[in-house]
Amino acid sequence: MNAVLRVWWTFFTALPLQRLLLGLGAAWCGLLVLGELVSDGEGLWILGVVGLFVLVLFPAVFASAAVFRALSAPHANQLLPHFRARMLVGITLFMVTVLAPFALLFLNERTGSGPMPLEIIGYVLAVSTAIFMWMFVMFGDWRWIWLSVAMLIVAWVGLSSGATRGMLAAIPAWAWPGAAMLAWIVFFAWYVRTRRVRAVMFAPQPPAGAWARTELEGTLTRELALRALVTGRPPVQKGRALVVRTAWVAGNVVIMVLGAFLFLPAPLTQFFAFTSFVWPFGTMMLLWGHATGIVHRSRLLWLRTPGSRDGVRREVEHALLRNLRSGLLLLVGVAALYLSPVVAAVPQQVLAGFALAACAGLFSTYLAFASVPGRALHLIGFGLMMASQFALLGPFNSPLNVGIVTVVELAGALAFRALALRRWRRVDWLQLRPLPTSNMFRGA
Amino acid sequence: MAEPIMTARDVTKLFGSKTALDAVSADVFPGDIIGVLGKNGAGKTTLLETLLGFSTPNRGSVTVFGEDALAMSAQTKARIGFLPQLDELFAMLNGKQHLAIVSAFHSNWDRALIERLVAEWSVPLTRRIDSLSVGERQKLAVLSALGHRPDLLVLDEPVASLDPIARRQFLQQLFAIAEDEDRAVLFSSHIVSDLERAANKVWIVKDGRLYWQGYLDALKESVVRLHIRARSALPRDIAVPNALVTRVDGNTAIATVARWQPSEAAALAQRFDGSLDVESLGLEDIFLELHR
Repeated sequence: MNAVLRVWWTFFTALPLQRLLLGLGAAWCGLLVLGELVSDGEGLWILGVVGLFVLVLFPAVFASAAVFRALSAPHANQLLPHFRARMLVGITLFMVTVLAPFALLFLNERTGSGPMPLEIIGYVLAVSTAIFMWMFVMFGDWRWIWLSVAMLIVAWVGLSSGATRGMLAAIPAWAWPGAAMLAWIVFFAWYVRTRRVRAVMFAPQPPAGAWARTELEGTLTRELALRALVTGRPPVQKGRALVVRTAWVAGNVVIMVLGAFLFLPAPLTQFFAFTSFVWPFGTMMLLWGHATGIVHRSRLLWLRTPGSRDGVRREVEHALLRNLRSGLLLLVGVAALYLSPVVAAVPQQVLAGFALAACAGLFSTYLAFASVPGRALHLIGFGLMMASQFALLGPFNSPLNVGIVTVVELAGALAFRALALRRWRRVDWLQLRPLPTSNMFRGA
Repeated sequence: MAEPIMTARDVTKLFGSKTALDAVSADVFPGDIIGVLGKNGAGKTTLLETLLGFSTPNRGSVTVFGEDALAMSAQTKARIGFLPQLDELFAMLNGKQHLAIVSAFHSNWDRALIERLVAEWSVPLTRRIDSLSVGERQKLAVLSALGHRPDLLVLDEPVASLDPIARRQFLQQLFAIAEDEDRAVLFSSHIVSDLERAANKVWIVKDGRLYWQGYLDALKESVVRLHIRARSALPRDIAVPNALVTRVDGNTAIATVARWQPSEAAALAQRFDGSLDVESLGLEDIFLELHR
């Protein structure tokens, strides 16, 4: 197969889940075509296009950045003739394929009076481009997700204000595809010039600066060494631990207060409720990267922890709970912010919000704990919980929904713990190895 | 005879439908330096890591210093030194910090030994690990496995990235360990010449099975190449007992045989009505012949 077509095809078929969805999408389209032929069902083909988009194109857009990075990273690939040019042609062809169903859908006369086709295609191009760029930087370093969360919050807050909505509406339609094209031009220019593209990375790397300042010789106990191994973070002596944690929480609260003053809409009641999706989702995001890293580093404990796999499992669970505690400390700071005159939220709502976010953290922690091995469980569990939070918890929500999500989170955490206890008895460290780490300040 | 340090019985490991280890039984005794040989994907890493309890076998059992490998006490684990094939060093630490963390797990960490080896092997301890070359990282990983003077040292491809000088120094260290007859070393390598120089026993892993296990000298005596010269032309399908490979050309034939008994030579020469020369093989030739 032609190299460009091979690259293009890989964007749709790189992951097992994609191949499954591709099969389902093809079957779905085939059935609808048959249905249209047999029953002369007017408009069934539109369902086919929608199915194709949901099952094939949408997952491919999300996966494309990781695939692009994975193909671009190996040094050996740089020696392939016209490799980078072919990659760029491949991704261009891919984006054209993503846009094609919309062109078909809206150019077809049977759809009647829809929106202007070029506008819709422009929006789709802008959104697909944004998703690609966002995922590309995130797969280079997981911590860029914080920028995304911040942008999401800013966008949400902005959209809740009538003035901002008016400003957005005033932007001409051509500006969106124009911005997308500009982004692609910048990306292409960077891609052909950069010396190397970093491989896909999953686990955040502890700050190198903190290690550089750490003097270990003569001060390290076995317990501290074990913690350093499993977390990848410099050991903190017991006396200093409280100071470090307090400073960490205080620093974060200061950032949040500053952020609140900068971005809070007026009136303040329009700010995200503590029971909104932002805090449970944010807590899950905060904890899952480190939790996954801890679980995968468990291999390093095997010959250093007495007894069976239960011994390692206990150490890992302790490390995960310490990680959870750090997240909860931050939530305490957030709760204080909500109770303060800055937001002046109702105490009952703050209490419910704290329980909701804490249970999300617990869910995320035990999901990572039970994912030995298998990213499938992790991705499905995380995705389902994320979807539940987004669906049931808006920026402002009912106590019933908050209660439902909190209970589901807690039940999920308990179920994953029970599963973890079973799975850890036979965990196989031939397969469960430390994840590649990343550092957003080094390399591309 | 001394008690074995490690005993594996009927160890079978499956990855889905693929059999990675197939009913492996073996012993490691004090004083053994065992070289593990096998093609890529033969199951060497799976074998070494299953013996140390990193992987749970689907069938069979392993004991290390008399304890189940899946539930070793702290004392037993402290007697093991292990170097994995892919080093597990923390990229953001420097060598000194890494050794400080590893040494914190051992009360008997031999600082003098490590300082000597760091000097001899020129390991840069003050540089960050992610700035070290692959060979320097490997030296650091080897030091981590040696520092507590383990009674059982398991090394998975320890010399793959070392230069010839470092390889020689490493082998000397292995010889020094071997001088202590209470210890044992189990190491895999593709560099057969090193393995031949250092090991006194060999395990040959083929398709997940231990095809050969025993003394290196016994292997060399057991697998030989026979040069047969008959008075008349030989049939193309001559049957030589235990032959691994046979090549016939007119009235001469060359056969590589396993489980060779010198007492069979006279009978074989008589059977083919000719003469028979026995050629001893090096380990590399034996390995190649076994995998033809």
